[in-house]
Amino acid sequence: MNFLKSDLLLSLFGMSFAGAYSWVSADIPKSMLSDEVGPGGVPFAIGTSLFLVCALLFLKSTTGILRLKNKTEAGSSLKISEPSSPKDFIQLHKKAALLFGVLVAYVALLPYLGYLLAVTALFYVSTSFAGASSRVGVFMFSMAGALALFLIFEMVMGVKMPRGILGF
Amino acid sequence: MMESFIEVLSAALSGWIVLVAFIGVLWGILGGALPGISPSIAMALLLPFTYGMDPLLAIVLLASVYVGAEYGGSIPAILIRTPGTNASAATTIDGYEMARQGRAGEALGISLTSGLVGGLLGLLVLILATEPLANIALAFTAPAYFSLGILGLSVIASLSGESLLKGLIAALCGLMIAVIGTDPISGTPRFTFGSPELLSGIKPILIMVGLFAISEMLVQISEPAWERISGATSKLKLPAWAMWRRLFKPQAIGSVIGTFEGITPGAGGTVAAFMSYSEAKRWSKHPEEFGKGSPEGVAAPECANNVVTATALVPLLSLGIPGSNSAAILLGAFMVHGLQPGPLLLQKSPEIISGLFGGLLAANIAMFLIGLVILGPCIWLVNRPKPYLIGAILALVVTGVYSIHQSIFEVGIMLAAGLLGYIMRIANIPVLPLVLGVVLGFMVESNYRRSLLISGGDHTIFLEDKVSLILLILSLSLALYSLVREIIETRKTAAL
Repeated sequence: MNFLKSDLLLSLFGMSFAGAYSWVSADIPKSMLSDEVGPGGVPFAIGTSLFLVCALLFLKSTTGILRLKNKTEAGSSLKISEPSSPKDFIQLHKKAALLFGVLVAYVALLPYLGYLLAVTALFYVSTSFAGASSRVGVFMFSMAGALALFLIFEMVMGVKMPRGILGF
Repeated sequence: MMESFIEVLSAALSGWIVLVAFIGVLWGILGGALPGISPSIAMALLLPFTYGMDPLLAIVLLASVYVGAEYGGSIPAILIRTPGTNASAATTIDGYEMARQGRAGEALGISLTSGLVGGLLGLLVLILATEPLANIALAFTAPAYFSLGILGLSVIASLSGESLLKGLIAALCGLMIAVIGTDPISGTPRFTFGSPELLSGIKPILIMVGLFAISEMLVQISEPAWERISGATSKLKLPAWAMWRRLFKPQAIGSVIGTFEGITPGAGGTVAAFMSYSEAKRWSKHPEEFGKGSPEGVAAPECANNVVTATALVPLLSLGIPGSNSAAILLGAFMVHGLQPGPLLLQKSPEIISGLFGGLLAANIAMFLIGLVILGPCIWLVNRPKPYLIGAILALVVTGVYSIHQSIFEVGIMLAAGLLGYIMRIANIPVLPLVLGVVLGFMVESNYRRSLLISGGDHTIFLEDKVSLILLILSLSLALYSLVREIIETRKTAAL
């Protein structure tokens, strides 16, 4: 995807978000203790500023695209770089998305599995996913890493790590 | 002045400070040697650990990591043409050429000694500049502090990336995050969506760790493994006297440029390193050697980026405005310990500041001593399979963040910040303005509303206060200059 078109998408998303944000800010109720600005005043100003900045970005990217298009139609050798397809975009960012999913799963399962099991699983899955090939090596690394972190944080630093439904 | 130096020296000789300086530098060198682990990530990884520490030791530890990481980044830059940190990218040009010619040890020795020279000179500037600037800031009123926050945000927004508009988007998003929680004046909840955990707001440390560490791992998972370093190149060679004389000029150039770039918020070590390289080439008696293994081409950028490790702290300590990612992490450390850097900290807790100066002195000496012997372990670490490093860093980060308040919710916030950081990288939006928006948000809002309370709602107070007016004019001028420059650049690109 060429940078101008991604800026266009960014600016459109930004304007929508800023609009919604300002609308919610305007709705924040004032109380008896409020000053003249009120609790929603500064957020409203931030949302409005963001809307204006995104609008400028929209104008900049639109005129940029039009200028490039005109140059191409006028027979210049300049080509607009073809946007990559959604399939290419997904392929490029698939691994990162899956790794993020692993991290979210860690947070979601932590109260149930407990720290030791959850972090061992995190070590194992993330290291394997990152490309480590030896299953035994990864397993040993995961066990050792989890134990080391548990010892450092709970025994040395005195931080109580979460216990799961199995009690550890 | 002499008393300040004596305080700094006695702090530098204090046992605990020396110990944490050595530990921090060691962590920094090892972290900096790993491509993709910037000084700010190395600091962010340790930040949760410092929560239970003495404030001064915590801050010295993190500052030492910064010092160590800048040297550490030059090791893979020289040996495998892969900068460990952004600021060591300029070192790659001649450093790697020297390594190819069998002079890797010489290049590493020049990097280490130039780093020491730069670090010590930068520290001197930090000591001399902090107090006078802080004394000026003491006279600031609420309108002036508001305008200072706006200036800080606009400087960072315009210097941190290619686009002023994207920098402003990032800064405004940071401010949006900063207002989440309870309104400071009326106590009304804002954007908490009924969640009790959000009533106290989102802590900047979670945003920083997520933006720097988690987003970097999300990027690294798709990057190929970096090249392995051969152990045969592992002997460091300190420069002889004749070489020292030759390196004097590039080190002087690096020091001057590093000083100005470091003090300017948003500019940073990378800009300083490249500018120093280019100026050293211009003023060299042997410019034809640059790009082909010139020792001056290593000395200038390494000196510059180590000067920046100290001078980037000038706006942080004197005004409370972090000028770089690493300074922002340090600000996070101050805040975690209930300290607000700026002129009031200098007045109320001068021992923290002199202790930090002493710690930086110890850190620079530690960097030199550790640098003499650390090469082997660095090479070993860089040669570890990348998947294991990614797994270890992720586990360390999620555990460290949990350990701050034993809150799984906070780990979730950090992950959300990590995702945001990744999306920002895809969209080419600089991260530092967002961090600054988060840390300066409270200062900007509270001083804005305090000013209006004083003036009875009259906004002209910001124009009537002379300091505030000057700062606002500076912000506007800088923003307009950046916008015009961007338009000219865009037109040049379209014309090609």
